[in-house]
Amino acid sequence: MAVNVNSKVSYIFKKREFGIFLFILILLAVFGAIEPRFFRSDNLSAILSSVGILMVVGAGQTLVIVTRNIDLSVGSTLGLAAMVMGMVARSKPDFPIIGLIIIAMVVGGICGVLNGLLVSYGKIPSIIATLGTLAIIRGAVFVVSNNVQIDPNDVPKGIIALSTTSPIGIPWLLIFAFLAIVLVWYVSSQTLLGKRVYAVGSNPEAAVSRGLSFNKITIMVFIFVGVLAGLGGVLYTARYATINPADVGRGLEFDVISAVVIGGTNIFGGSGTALGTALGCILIGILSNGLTVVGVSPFWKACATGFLILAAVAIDNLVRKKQEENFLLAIRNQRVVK
Amino acid sequence: MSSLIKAPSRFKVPSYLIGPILILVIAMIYGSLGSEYFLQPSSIIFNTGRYIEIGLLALALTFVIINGDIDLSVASTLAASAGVLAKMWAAGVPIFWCCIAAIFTGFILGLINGLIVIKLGLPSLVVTLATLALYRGITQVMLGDGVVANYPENFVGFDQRLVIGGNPGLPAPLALFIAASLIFYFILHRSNYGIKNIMSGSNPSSSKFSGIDVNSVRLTAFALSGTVCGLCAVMITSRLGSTISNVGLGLELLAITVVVLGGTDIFGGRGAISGTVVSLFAIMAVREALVIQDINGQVQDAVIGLLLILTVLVPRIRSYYIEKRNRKKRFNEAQRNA
Amino acid sequence: MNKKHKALVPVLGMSLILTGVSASFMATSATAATKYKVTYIPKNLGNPYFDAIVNGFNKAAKGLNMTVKVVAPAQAGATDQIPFIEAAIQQKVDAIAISPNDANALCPTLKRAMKAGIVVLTVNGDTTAACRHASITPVDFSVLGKYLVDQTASVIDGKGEWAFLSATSTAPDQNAWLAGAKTYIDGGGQPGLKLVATVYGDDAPEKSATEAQALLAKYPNLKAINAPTTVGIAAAAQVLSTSPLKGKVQVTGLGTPDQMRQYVKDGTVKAFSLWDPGLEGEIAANLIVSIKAKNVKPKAGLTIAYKGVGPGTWKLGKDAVIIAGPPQEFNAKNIDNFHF
Repeated sequence: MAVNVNSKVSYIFKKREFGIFLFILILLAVFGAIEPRFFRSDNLSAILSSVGILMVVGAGQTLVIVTRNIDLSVGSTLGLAAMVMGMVARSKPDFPIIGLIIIAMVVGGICGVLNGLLVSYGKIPSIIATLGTLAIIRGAVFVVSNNVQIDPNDVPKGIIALSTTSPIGIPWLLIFAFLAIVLVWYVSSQTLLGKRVYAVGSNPEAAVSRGLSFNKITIMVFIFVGVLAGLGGVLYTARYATINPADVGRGLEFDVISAVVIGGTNIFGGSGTALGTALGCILIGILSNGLTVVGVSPFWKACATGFLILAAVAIDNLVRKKQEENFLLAIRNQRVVK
Repeated sequence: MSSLIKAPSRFKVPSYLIGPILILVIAMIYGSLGSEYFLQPSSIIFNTGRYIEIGLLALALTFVIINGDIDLSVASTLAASAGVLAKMWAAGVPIFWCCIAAIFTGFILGLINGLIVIKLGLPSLVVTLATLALYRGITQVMLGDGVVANYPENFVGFDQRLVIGGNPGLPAPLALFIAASLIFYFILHRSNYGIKNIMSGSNPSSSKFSGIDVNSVRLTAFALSGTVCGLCAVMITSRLGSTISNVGLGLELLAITVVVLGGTDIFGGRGAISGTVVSLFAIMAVREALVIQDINGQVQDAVIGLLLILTVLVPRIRSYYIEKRNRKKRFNEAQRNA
Repeated sequence: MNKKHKALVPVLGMSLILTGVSASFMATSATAATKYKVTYIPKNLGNPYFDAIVNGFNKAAKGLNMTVKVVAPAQAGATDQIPFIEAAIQQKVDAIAISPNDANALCPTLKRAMKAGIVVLTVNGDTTAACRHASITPVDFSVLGKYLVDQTASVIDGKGEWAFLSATSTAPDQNAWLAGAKTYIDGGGQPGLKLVATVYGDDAPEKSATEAQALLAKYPNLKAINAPTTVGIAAAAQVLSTSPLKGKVQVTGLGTPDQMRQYVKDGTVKAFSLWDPGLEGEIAANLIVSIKAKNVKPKAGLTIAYKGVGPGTWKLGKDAVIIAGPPQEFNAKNIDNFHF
């Protein structure tokens, strides 16, 4: 759908994020009304930096889900990338920061290659393959690290600084998040590759019969999410400084997938946008911070989160159905006029 | 094992069972060679309880997954049911009625999952991802940071009871599991409902046109899944003799692993109770063989992950080579004929 | 049939490789014959705090003719330790030492271990008293609540609002300390302080940091966050070290020196505490030998003495609880003397 340049289709496509956007506005209004301090700049920037990590990984996951796949191993991949990078930094404190970032992204990319091969040439459903690699890569984190965590004073200052500064004032962490989203937006809507990705997702048989290489595209999107998860590992280290083999990236897959589906990406593939995912990440970030800020009891928090995610998805679904109805109606009216 | 391979052709082992059976056999050999303490009758008796809980969840999930849906909320449903049981017991209700209430709670929560999925037309993956948080949240609201213990003597320790014969006899959970497997087998493979279930999973729209009420079939599967969660809540409470809000955390992935390893198609339409049953025992044998040799948790997880991938991958590789050989043979024959 | 037979070859091959891989794991756990076989089960692997306890065990085991095996689940779930206890029972070890993840859920299994003649000790956390022979706790749990309140008071000069950032709402040790702190406050302890909130970071860095940040936003007059958990204190310190509120809001609580050194040096953290976790391991190892060889029956009022281990003598409290030693405060002056 996204690849269709028909103006009416792209009109709906633009409006698709409307439901979730509306929901975020309502949530902000409610949180702000109860506790105006929610809008303090340091609170908002803290929300954004925790959202940033989610966005980087979520951007990649969006493309994976668009191709009818899913990557459950992103949390473990992030963990392995962060751990390998942290160990290099610990043994060679003078290692250049850019080198560390590349190492993390390469480690992530290798995990992506593994997933991609299993899913494409191995023909294993991605949910099964990555459920397996989720455990295998986490095992690798323990083996590689020999069960020893990286302490904050072994993490280079330059890495920590990624979460606080950059030449243009906004932290690198947010710049990376922004770039990841823009990259996915650009690739998916402006390039031939993006069109192929969506084509494979919306109708694999048709795409293959038109000569697209299903396997190549699948491997490519898995490498893409792996590299971004590796970058996420760098940002995780920048933000939290401690890299513990058991804790690093644990359970991230749930948050990332929640963010992507809240953002309107169809879990069955074929449609989904970077902007939607960004909004989904922001929603999750606002929820986890805002509920505590407005004073919801910790015991009610999980309950409220579950309920609000459900509400967000339901409202989004409703808005979209309405839009589609209007669109169909418009077409019919047009025909009648003719 | 050899008898299995050379079995007369009228009794053919279904292909989805070969992997789990091999894993089971190899794990047994490996465990017995590795430790003299493996395969003691006492170990089988004491250890079955906690696997049977996973097994029951997996049996119910088999129905949901064959249907083309998924229920990620099983562990949280279990927790909420256990919470109701605990709260009622603490309020002085006789334990029998507490158990009934727990099972009923599971039924209702499963029904709610199904209703949301069907009425709102949302993917079950998304809905149950949200209710995973929601139901766990309800449990936290009910139990807070408290513990409910001091259950009556005759209720605690169900997993240690023996039925049929004295010592050694058949552990009660195992007996229950065998009974449940038989019942589920007849429902799925011998009843009208089972046929509808498999059909609506393999092709929902054509099933609808052939007069199957797909939605009611799906709803039934969700309710069944919830009910079994309620039953498992009773079992787990009896086994542990206490209840806290994080009971059963993370069981959903274990249960899904059992189902998938047993050959049920994650996209629905294909699967068998026998696969789930054998797969449960295979995973049990692997875990027990590893833990008795002092192998840590994440290595165990990684081995299970690897086995999960191999059970899907190996048959694919095998069929690829058979296909290649056949093609070559055909080619040679064609040449000879020419 | 022949076809099928051939098809099985790759499967068998894979399985054999797997067996080989697993066997190499096994080789590391092969043990020389010693008199006492002990299994220690920490909460989970990769946690530096429990590594310190393991070091204490190994240190003491050398002189005691003892082999200590350390096995742990991947995650610190309430019931994740049960398979490892069951395995130890089947292996007929002499003693099980465990840092329990749950006060009640492990009881049925631990009771079975005791019935099988295995010495059961809880280390750094306790179950109900009927499920173990003795318990070694790092500090007096009833006093630690008061200690945490006083510690908070000392870093903010006895005045101001503060909050607890705990681990999980179901952690038995955390809940005991929080309850102790509340009793102390309700009894009029540190009247200048006001406990405004208790939040849970679930021992996950992301969630702990989010909760710490939310506290900073919600309470403009917040002066201190006390996190009596090694994950929580590091996450809160990291949030503050990059925040404009650094130095204005104090982070304190319980953490390991290695993990917190950075934040003490950059001024985010004035002081925090911990005890010597290794001491718990040393006492546990010695106590196991006492029970096994000298038939010592741990009960309240008994005095035990081990030469060269910490303060040297301990008196068992109610329910056979041994309190290892006093908490140690770490600050900018002394932190470089500690490495664990």
